[in-house]
Amino acid sequence: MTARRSISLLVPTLLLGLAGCGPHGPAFSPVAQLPQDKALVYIYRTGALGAAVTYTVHSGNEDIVDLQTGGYYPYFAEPGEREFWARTEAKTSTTELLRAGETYYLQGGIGVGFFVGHPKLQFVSREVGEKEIKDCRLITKQ
Amino acid sequence: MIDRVVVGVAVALLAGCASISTSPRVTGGATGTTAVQGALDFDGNRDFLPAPLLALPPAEPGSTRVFRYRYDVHYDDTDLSALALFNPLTILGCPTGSVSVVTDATLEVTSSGDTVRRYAARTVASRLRTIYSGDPLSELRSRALRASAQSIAEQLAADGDVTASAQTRAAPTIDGGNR
Repeated sequence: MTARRSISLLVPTLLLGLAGCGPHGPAFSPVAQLPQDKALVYIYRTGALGAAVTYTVHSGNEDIVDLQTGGYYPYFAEPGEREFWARTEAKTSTTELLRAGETYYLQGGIGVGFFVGHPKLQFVSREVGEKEIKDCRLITKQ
Repeated sequence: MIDRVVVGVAVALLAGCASISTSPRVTGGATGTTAVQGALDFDGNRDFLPAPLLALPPAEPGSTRVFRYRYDVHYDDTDLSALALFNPLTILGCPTGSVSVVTDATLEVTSSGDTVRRYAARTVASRLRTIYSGDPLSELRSRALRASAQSIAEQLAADGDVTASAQTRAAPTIDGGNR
């Protein structure tokens, strides 16, 4: 088998493999009713880089969601200062002061790592979040 | 060869460092002895309050002199991942990007509803990202908010009119905190 033929088989195989990695839930739709004693945090991830790497987003000791690229998850949080974190071979954390009745957007991503990509988590503005989350699909918990 | 190793190690060590800068900085203010009188309007984390405000009672509708403290945080991200993949020094810890936390803190002092003083402080805390490190944004945010609170405390300490007494005479509004 020539090198060219090997590559021509490898590329579609990889693409097919990655295609199966994304979330299969319904397309994004905003939460209809937000409980007044909670804050809503949309956790989402876009971008093709490191699509094969998923990581779990935590708040304190709670596992919230396994974040896949192209996916989002609405999380109802207790108001106050809340730290969200994720870890592959390195840990990333971010903290936000959450107010009851308000909506926040936590953008996930992936950065270059030694063996495995590093998670990136960052709160973004409503304008950025609303625009980016539109193309995401709901991550359904197993 | 040895030179390259030394440079690589130096880059790796420096990459783990965070830089932090705050403005304005006011020298000469003895923040530990600053006392203010009034009530506090604040709903954030008290760990990030300027020290002179810690002892103030919560503001109520009838409060005459109110100290209103607010902070805002946003992030800047520079991602050089695509370049890093082709940079042989990446494996030695050469930065693959950077992340910055910018905090803006403001303190408004009102007397009978009129703003008599306004102080502001901005802190930028930055950290280089490598293939060996994650993004400790929580830590950067905490350091930046404390630095901004310290700057506000220094400005308060340097402002005799506000700290000396509970007098409610009106004074011009001051942006940026420096007189």
